[in-house]
Amino acid sequence: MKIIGRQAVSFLLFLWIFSTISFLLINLAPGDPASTILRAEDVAVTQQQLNEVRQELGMNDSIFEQYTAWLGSFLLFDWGTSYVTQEPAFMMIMRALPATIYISAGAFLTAAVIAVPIGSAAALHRGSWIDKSARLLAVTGASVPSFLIGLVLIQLFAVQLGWLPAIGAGTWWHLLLPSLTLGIGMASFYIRLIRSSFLEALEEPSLRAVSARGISEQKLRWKYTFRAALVPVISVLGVSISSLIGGTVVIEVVFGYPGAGSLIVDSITRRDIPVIQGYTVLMAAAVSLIQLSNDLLLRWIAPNRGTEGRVF
Amino acid sequence: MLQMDKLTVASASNQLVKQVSLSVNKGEWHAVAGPSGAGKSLTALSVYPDLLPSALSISSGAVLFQGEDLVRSPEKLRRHIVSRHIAYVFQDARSSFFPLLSIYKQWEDILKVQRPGLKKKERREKMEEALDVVLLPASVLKQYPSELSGGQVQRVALAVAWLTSPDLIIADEPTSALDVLTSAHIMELFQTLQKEKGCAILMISHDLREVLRFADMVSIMADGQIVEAGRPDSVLTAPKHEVTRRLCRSVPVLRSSIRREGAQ
Amino acid sequence: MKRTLSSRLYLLLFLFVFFILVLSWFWPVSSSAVSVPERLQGPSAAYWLGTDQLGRDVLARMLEGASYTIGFSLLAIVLSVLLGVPAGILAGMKGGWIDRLFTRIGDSFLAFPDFLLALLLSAVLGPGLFNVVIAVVLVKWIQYSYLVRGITREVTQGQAVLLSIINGSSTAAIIKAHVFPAIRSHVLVMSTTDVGKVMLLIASLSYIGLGAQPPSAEWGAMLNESRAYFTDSPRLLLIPGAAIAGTALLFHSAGDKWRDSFLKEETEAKEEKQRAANG
Repeated sequence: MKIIGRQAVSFLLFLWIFSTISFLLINLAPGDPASTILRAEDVAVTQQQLNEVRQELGMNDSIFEQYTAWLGSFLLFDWGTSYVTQEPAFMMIMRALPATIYISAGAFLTAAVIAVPIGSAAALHRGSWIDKSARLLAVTGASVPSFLIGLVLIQLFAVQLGWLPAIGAGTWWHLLLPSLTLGIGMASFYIRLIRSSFLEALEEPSLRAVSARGISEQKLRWKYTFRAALVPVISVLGVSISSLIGGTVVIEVVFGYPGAGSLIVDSITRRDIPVIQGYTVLMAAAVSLIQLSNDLLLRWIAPNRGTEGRVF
Repeated sequence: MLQMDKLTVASASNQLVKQVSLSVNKGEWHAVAGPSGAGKSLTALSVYPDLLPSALSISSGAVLFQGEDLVRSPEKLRRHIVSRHIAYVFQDARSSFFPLLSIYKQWEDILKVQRPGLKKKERREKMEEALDVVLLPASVLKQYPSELSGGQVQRVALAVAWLTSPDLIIADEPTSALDVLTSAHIMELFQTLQKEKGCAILMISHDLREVLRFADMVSIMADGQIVEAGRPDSVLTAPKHEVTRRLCRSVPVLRSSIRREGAQ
Repeated sequence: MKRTLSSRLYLLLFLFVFFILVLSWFWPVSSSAVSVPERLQGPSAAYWLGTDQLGRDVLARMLEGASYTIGFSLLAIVLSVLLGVPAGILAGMKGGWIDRLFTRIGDSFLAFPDFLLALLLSAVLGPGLFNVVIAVVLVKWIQYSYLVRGITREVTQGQAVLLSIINGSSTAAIIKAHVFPAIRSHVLVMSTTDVGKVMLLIASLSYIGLGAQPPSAEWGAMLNESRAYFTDSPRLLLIPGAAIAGTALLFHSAGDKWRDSFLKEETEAKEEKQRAANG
């Protein structure tokens, strides 16, 4: 309980520091939100209008006043109004998020389907051709950028064969290519991870004794070894989520897929600051929240091991 | 019941156990003693050759258990025999329990294999009974190996023997990492198992007083060979081989008995 | 024998990458000269790799792109190492509050996505490669200092260092004699692999328009500009695509290989020590 409390405190502290930094960065940066808003409305901008919008945004207040006002409303999920669409930024992000979560889940599934059998087979047949080709596959997979995989898959399945929709969203079929692309990219990382943690788990000294007590080969492998192999995999979940954030942004742009990733890229090109701010703080929160729950999960699956199995 | 016949264990370059023959009868406590590096542990591990370090193998000889040669039988049959009839107790008991599962979960798996007919409640009762025998509270069941002390883990290992009622317990210096009081208790538990469950015991021992007090038979090993064997009171009080003599001399109680014999 | 052969191959390939980088400085042909009549031409004597959709020389653009994609990745990692290694040694050797402060901050940022930081910076400063470099350095230096801190602690608590302290060696001498040799191979392995990773990051960000800006011929940006021509001139995508993947593969597999051989050496050294202790 004490540990959970301490971690929750450091989680909140991190969020506060990060959101403050992002606030300062954005508000002290060159560029004038007022003119961004007016330009979005596509009318000739007068000084009069600029001043009015600035007043509305509170830009004439001191930076400290702006900060406290921002922090207060941010905590109440009032993340400001999009400069471009005039919608609440929170709503925009929340509307885009499920689509991103779908392809993330699809990607995790794809990665697991590819990496678990290949990684564990490589470990069980260490040094064989299976192992060697798995390593080759992993290092090659880690070197091909995901947008290139995406482009090739679009070319192959959408343009040449015409089996699947290339871009957009709406049906389950639209999820397939983005999930596959993202999952293939992630799989290479997991193949290596699962291979090495399986190898380590096979060295676990107690397994011989357990096997001498008659526990079947199957059970030994999938209940005992697998459990031990899972520890390092779980401990890098935070890293996986980090890479997933970058991955979804790129993949959503490649496939013209309307999720949080393409929303943020659009917002950056249009300097739509409330949305950018909301997204970055939300993602930072997600990463550290995963990290936190991760530690708890590890404590549950491997008590008294703490963060010993941590790999970076 | 257990017969080792001219057993030789070798690495790529040399023989570590040479032509060892020994036998353990039903319900008998057979101790193996000798200086370190004599090949005692390897001899004990050879009963289930899969436990041997991967660089070593049995190059010749046989290990007969109830008539079945464990060296040459197929892996599956061998494991079946070993798991149903033999229990291992190691010096470092912690390394014989999987660190990521609670004692309850590990015992449950063992009982499911060894006593397939039992219901969940009956399994639980058996476990509590076994813990009772080794004087541990039932709360140990939900703990993990890392949460237990060395003596507790060793008692848990003996409780496994109680659960499975093997015909033979093979123990490799089970008390050498423990303090005097705990090891006395562990030895008594072995005796309980021998008396009440009728288990035979093959024990590697470094303490000749223990051998003298508990064992029915003793084999002295040196340099990979058995140099002397017989009843402890005769072997240890009238050692014939140089190694045995040296071993006995290091134990004050025995030293005096040797001197007395020499004077007669 | 096999080992030296493959290390020579790697050396050769790295020299080739270096050669390309140097060449990109001196290459006489313009990478941005547009010539619409000559657009989408295949390879020829005049244009060795053909021309793109605007009639620009693909070879010249590839060379320019190398200096962006590879050059900026190297820059980012060199800066991270230069910042991270001294910080790690400091935290590892001094211990105390410096170390505690360090681990507190580091814990939160270790898994922090550099991609997210790059997004934030390009929102603030406008898209560009330097933002990516800053974002990478901000995230990576902590990882290097963490690595170095751990090894430094391990080394300085060992007996060899204790002996040198007793013998009156200065801190600088201890760092030189004990810490540097211990961290060198680890930092080399991590940074080699990281160059490959950062290359992919730079190319990806440029592809989605938040890295190098047109007409800069960064490889990812080239892919983005030519993506509509996949069916007609797949060459325009395959050349930069293969260049990215190939170079990243070189760095990744070299990092892998070195990790393996260093690990092997390390375990052998440890075994040697153990044998000496036993004998």
